[in-house]
Amino acid sequence: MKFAETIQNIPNAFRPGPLKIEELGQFYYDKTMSVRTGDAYISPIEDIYEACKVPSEQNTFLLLGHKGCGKSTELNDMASRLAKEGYEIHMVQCGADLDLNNPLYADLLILMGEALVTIADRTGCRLDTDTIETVENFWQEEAEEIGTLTDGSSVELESGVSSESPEILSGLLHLFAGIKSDLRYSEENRTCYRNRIAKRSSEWIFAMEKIADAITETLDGRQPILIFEDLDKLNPQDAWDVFYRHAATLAGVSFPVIYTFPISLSYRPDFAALEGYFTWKTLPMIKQENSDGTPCEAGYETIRKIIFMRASSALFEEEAVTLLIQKTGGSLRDLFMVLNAGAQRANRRRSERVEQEDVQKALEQLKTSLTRRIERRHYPFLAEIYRGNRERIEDQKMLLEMLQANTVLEYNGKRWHNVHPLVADFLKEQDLIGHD
Amino acid sequence: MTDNILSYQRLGWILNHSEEGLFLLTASAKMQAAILKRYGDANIAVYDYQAQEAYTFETLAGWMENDPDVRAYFLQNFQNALTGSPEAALKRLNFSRDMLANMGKNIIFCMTKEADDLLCRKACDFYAYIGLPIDFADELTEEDAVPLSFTGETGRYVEDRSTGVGLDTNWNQPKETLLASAIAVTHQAKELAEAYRFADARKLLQNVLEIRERLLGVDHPDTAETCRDIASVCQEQGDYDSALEWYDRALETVKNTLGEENPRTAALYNNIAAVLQSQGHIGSAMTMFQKAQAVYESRLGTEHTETAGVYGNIGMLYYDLGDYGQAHRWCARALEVYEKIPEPDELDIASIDNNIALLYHAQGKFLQALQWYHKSLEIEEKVLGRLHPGIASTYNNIAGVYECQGDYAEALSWYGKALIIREEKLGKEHPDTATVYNNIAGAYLRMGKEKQALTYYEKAYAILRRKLGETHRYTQNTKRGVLYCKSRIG
Repeated sequence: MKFAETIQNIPNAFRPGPLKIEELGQFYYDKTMSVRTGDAYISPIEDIYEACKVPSEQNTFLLLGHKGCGKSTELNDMASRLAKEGYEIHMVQCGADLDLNNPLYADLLILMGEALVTIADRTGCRLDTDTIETVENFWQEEAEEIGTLTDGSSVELESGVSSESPEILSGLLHLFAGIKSDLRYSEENRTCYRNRIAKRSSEWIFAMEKIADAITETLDGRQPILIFEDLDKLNPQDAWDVFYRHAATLAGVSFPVIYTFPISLSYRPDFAALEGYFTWKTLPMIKQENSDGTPCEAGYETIRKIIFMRASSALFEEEAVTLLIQKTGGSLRDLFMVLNAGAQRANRRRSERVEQEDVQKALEQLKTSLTRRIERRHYPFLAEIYRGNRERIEDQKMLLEMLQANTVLEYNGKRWHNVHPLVADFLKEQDLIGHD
Repeated sequence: MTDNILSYQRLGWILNHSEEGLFLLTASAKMQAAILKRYGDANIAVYDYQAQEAYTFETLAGWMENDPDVRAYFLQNFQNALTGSPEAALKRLNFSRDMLANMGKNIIFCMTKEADDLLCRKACDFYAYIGLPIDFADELTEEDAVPLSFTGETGRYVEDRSTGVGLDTNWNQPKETLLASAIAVTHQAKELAEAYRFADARKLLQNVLEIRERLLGVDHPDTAETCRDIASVCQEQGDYDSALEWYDRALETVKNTLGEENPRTAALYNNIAAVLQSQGHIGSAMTMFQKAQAVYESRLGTEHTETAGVYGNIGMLYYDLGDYGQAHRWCARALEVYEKIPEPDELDIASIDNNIALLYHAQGKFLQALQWYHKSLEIEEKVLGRLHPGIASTYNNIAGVYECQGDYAEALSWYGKALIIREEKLGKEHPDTATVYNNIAGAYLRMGKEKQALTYYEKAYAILRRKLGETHRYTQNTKRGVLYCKSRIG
């Protein structure tokens, strides 16, 4: 990613994905909490950050947030800060390693074990013989049954010798690589592994705790920290099955674990049942409007700063930026997409900057994309939110549908909602709501 | 301009400028085939889902690994990958979104409008990652049968045709086609240079040079023209030694083929003189300007715009020498010629106005200097716009007048405007940017702020020493500033 000094560089400066750790230094704007939570000193990410550093009985977290609110970027920043303080963090990309069409809690526990072994390997941590044998033997039986044990995964050890040899941990990693491959592609093998975990989960957790303890000792008291990404994309029912039914197991480890979580599940009346096991935190969207409909100047300024950390202000007409922020409702992903389209149009006009007309045309495209997701049956619901019923919304099912489609946005974590500004414009064009 | 042409331009924009991203192209199956046929020789890879193969990230990643260096990956008929079990396919697409984005490639999903609609409504996570959508109307035109790469104007749609900027030249093409492509690519190179993408521009021009050398010969005037273009880019970059090498090469060819008395030869004398002047070789620069003057007057007369240009250049050389009387005479002569020309280039007039202002400035006639600077600025802002580097020069000069008058706040304000443009357009390592650093330093010094002055002098000195050499007068001037500040600070 590069700072955009010309129109042509804009697409490379405004990618829709999260900022990577190596990009944070140059492009990350860290002062967004006041316009997310309403108070610069209230930060769900800081809460998790501080909790990760203090051993505690309940340090398994669910991090919730709407699409594009910046969860992954904030987690990357948090991980970067913790890493600078000597902590070891491992981000588990569940989308890469699991069949998220068919997830099970056991899969998460397997990935957890692999993550810990990876950290141990990375930090030169010495695992004692017993721990290694426990891990190996746990899977050995399964491996023999299914014949997937590959060369190098079983290592001869002398008793009492710790794993100074790098080959030993790499052997374990090789073992996990085979297991992960089976989790994704082999239904038969996946069933075997899951049954194993289901029958002996406490044994497996015990083994992981031993690895985690060894890492903590190596790191002078700093526990390993695991972050499970992509779980917010799970089908809500699948996510509920995983987390609600196996809360005690998933939250039963002593080291910090953070799971991203579908925000739609927090609307369930029985969501409170999870609070006994997990600490849940919501990262709100950046707002550009207050709940009374007045513009939130601080939100505008924040988003402006985010833009200008990635591109020169000389590339934009001021009115274009204002329009962009106003009509994308604080959704940075939408904003970036409109900006890219606007820049492309400006370039075609041989202009050196993006002007209001470029943004206007690009917004039309986004509006088309959003309004394709709504049907006539949604109109009264949306109109009601627009007219002011922003906090107590009874039709939760429709609300979740509209949140999923990004046509309704939620702010402040206090559950006040607003119709996406472009959808509001569409409803005005249809005379379904009054013009301002 | 039809919508499809706009869509081709958008696709060209992605291929030319995007380093990575997910994109969505909507078109009928027939139209997709026509589009991809147009890019037949471009450095892209195409995966066709026509066999209704289900989408999996692993299959896609494996295919991409086989061809890692292409500019973009097109997934043709992706609508077929969503049939069968669309729910499962959409889920897989959603879940693999981040993996696709993290591949660091340009991936263009080509599908019908119906599939696009399905994706928009049912795969919101994936859809949110689409960088730019590109919509094509379904009507095939004659234009769709025309390859994009080598034909004049349409060649602009695909600029990048290899791993970087450049041509993956197909030498089997007819000579006329290749030479036509050389012209088109030269235009593109000039556009890149105007956008300060000097390295990319040079790379394109090297390809053009290769074509012309092979097809026309090393000693052809058109080959010399490319050498001159390369030299010009080097000059813009501040790489004066390379610029001289390329100008010399061009000059030798033009003299041998067109003769000493040709206006193209004069143009090169003029170019070389300008570089020598930038390097501080005033005497040599004067010799070359006078050679150019002689040829222009002989071949074009004394009332021609090119001749006026040389008059103005000679005037500024006298300015460098401190002979303001001669400088005024030559600049006035240039202005007189421009004002007689029926449709003069306004920027030529702005340039002369600026030079006359410089002369008044140097003579301490500040009021007249500001009047002439503002005349120049008015034209420049009208023609170039406020963010053009040409304006930076005038801002810099206006600042200098205020500084001379002791109005340092106003001076710093104008220097600041110049600096913003030069840092962004030329970069922080360009000698012209260093000039502004030097001038800001001077203003601070006169305000008694030696520490701030030293910071800017040191910045300027470091750049000028690298770019112009230790002995260049600009470098020496800035070095004096550094030493003086240090002596004051202690």
